[in-house]
Amino acid sequence: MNLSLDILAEALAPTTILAWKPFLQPAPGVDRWWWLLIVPTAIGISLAYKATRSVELAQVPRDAARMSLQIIGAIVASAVFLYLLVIVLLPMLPAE
Amino acid sequence: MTTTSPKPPFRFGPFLLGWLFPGLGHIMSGNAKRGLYAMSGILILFITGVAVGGIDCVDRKEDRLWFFGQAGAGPITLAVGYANDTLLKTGSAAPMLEAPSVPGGPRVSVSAFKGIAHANDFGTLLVFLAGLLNICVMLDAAVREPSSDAPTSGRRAGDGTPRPAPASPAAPAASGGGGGA
Repeated sequence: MNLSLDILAEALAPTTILAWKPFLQPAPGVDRWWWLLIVPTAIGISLAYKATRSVELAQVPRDAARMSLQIIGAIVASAVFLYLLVIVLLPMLPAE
Repeated sequence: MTTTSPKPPFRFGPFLLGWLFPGLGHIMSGNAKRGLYAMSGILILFITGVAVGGIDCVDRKEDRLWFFGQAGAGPITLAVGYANDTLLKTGSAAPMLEAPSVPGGPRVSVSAFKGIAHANDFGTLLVFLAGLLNICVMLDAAVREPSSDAPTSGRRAGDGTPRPAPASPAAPAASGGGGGA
């Protein structure tokens, strides 16, 4: 967790941000915090999808929020599963 | 016996308006709130993509296949692509740098603001998603009944089925059997 915060702090350092020309050049430090982009991606997809699929308009924000959480939860669960498989389980197998 | 609902007519007006700007097809056909929701979702993807990848994430020459999907978001994609052509590729926004090339090959120079690696990948992908989702929204606007979100549309909230007739209070007693005396 501290590592992640350090990475974010470095990417969002004032000197880095002040030198950034938004929309003209890529955002600074994306290589380190690209995984956070799942949040706006899930929200955008959910909002546009539920806007066309929900019958009752008053439920669109709630449905979109629920779908966003489902997407993020599924991605996190996949990440945990793959971490356990690749980092924990596979090294326990005999080499030959 | 099953009944099939008639196929809704395809209206090209909202379809084209939806391409001009995300959600505009719904708004102009009387479903403003639905259009604003769709517009918000697509613009979140589009603006995030351009902010992360820079205007280089829309490139109709180097990323042609991606561009076809991105163009679904309409003129805003074309505007970003035009800005890329006129600001970055000409060197007017940032100095041009000589890129590594194969020995003996032609010299290649790119803008110092060119997106590479994750920045370009995710910027391109997010704008692409915005374009594909806008095509879905355009199709929905084309077949959706105008002003169908009005409160007097005669549909029950939640599941879209007609309101059921109120139950008769005598019905349970009649089916409950018993019959005294």
